[in-house]
Amino acid sequence: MASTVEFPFNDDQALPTIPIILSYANSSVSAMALLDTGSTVNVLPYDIGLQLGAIWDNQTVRLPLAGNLAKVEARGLFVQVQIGNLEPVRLAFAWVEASHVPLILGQTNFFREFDVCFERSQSTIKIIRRD
Amino acid sequence: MSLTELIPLVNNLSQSDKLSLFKLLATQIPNAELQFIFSASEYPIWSPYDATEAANILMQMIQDHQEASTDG
Repeated sequence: MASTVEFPFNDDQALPTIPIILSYANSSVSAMALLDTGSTVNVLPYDIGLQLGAIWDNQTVRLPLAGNLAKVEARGLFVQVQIGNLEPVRLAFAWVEASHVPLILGQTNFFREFDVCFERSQSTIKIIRRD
Repeated sequence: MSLTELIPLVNNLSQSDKLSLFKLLATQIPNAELQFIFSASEYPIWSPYDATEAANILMQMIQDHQEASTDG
C-alpha cells in the first residue's frame, strides 16, 4: 500500500483542496476537502453527513466550535476517509448542523495522521501517511 | 463604447494599469456609494481555529474508540 500521494496544486487555484472519498456504514461520498492547517478540527457539512447515512440524533457527543461556526451546533462523528490510493483512515469530524460550510481537514485529527507538503512552485500537494 | 466592449479590454490590462484605472474610477464615485460597495462584502472564515475544547473532546472520542478496539 502506498504511503504518499500527490495532487495538482495549480497556480491559479486559490485554495488547497483535494478529492477524498468518505465512507460511513455502507455509504460512500466523493467530495473536495479543504486542507486547513488553521482549523483545530475536521469539519463535516450537514448534507454530506446525511448523504453518508449518519443520523444526527444518534450522535451524542456535542462539540463547542469557534469563529463563524460558534453558533452552529456540532456533534462528533467518525468517518472513514480514503485519499488517493492510501490506506483508508478513520477520522473524527465535527459534524455541523449547516450545509453552507466547506468540508475541512484540520489539525484534529487529519494533520495527526498525515504529513502534508504544499509545493506551489512544483504545482503539487503531497500527502504522506504517518507511520 | 459600451461596457460589454470595454470589459475585455480591461481584462487585458496589466495589474498596475488595472490599479490606476480603479483609482481613477474611485475618484468619480461618491464616498457613500464606495463605502456601501465594500461594506456589503462579507468574507466568512469557517476555520474553527481556536476550538481547543472541541479538539479535546474529539481526541477523547478517538482514545475511547482505540481502547474499546483493544479490549475487544
